[in-house]
Amino acid sequence: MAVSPWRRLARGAPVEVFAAAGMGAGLAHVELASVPDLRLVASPRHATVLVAVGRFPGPLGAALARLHDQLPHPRAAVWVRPAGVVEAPAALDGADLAQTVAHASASAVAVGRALRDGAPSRPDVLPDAPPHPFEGLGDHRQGGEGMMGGVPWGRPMAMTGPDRDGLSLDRSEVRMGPFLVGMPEGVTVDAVLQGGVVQEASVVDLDDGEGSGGSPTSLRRHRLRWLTETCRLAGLDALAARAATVAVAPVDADHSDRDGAALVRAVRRSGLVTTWRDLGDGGAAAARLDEVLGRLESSAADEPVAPARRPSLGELGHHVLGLTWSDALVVLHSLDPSAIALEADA
Amino acid sequence: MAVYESFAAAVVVLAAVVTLVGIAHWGLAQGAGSTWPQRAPYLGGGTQESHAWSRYHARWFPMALVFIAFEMEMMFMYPWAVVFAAEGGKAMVEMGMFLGLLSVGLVYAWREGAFRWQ
Repeated sequence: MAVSPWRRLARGAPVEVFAAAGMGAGLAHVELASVPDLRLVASPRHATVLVAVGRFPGPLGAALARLHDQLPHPRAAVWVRPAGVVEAPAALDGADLAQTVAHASASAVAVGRALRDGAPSRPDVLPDAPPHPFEGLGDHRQGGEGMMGGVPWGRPMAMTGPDRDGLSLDRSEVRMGPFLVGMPEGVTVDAVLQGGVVQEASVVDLDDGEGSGGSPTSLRRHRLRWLTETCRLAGLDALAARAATVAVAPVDADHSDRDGAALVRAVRRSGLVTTWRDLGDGGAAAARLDEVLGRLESSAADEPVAPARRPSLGELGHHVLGLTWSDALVVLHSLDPSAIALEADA
Repeated sequence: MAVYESFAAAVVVLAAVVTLVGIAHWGLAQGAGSTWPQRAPYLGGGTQESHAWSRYHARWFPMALVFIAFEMEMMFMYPWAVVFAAEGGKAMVEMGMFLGLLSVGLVYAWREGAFRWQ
């Protein structure tokens, strides 16, 4: 067949993977990002395989079901199931199971290539019905009722409120996360947006409080995990892959950490610290990035630390008020509670 | 001549066929395998709680207004320059009226704070 050389070439291309981190996912992202045959993508619309890591209690499982159905066909799912977890969330029912992230990446490559060869796709988890029913509702079966203050298409219409320019404009209510790139593990944000500006935000912790789990690892690796996510959030995918490779590689016997030092230099050269100074949060996110880079430079030590218990998220939402959503996500990422708890313990 | 005409007709027909096939293919692709959960916006697993139709402040609006006021003014001045050579003072008065109207727009933009950089 004439297309077979092309088919062979396409078959060898990296498999697009969307990584959904549940509770206790640990360093899963960097391990996946460091596999050359996988390409981590930022949206499920670009992915072939969904790799879910950790526990997905209650609302996290519901969010995962919505995410699962947004992968285009053909699709597959792989679950790194933590020891002791028996019940699978609906989205992962019948998914390929893996013990470790390394097994999961091998499995993701295999199923991704099998899909290219025509293997069957996973069906939707959620019913094919509008999430907010509207069809046939209303006095004339026109679908919903009213306009301002009504529920015209199943969702309440945005009501007006004062905005930063002294105008009275619509307030759009959205729930963001928990699987956005850069969003701290198991966190969603209930935000009220006017245009792209966050007017109100409350951060909701979806953790069921059974401890963050995960195996003990080193502070250096945690910092590199954070840096990998930082680079992905900034769209610097090549640097993210490099940070992931440094994170999973064993430290040199003489603690010289030449790769780590070169990585830090490359991140500094990318101008990310300078860019983040203008976010509108007073340069706090830039200072935090600078601090992490400084600590990576000064210490190549790789002593293990116990996984820290995540502190209460408290007033995290206050830090993003008045920012545009993209900047707010950067600020939320820079204030990752687990990462800060680890630094505080050290 | 007839050769060129039939060639042009063939190109037009071909373009129409390609466009129609493209639109049909796009339409079929839209319908096929597209379910409600797949059509939902991607919010990282989150949901849209209020209706997505929301009015926001187009902050570039005053700047666009100023641009239009000055741009149209300049555009009309080119043909006016030709008429001015023939008509003289009368054309000058007419242009004065035109500029007067435009400056009302300018004053409005000033009041809206279009010249205040923020």
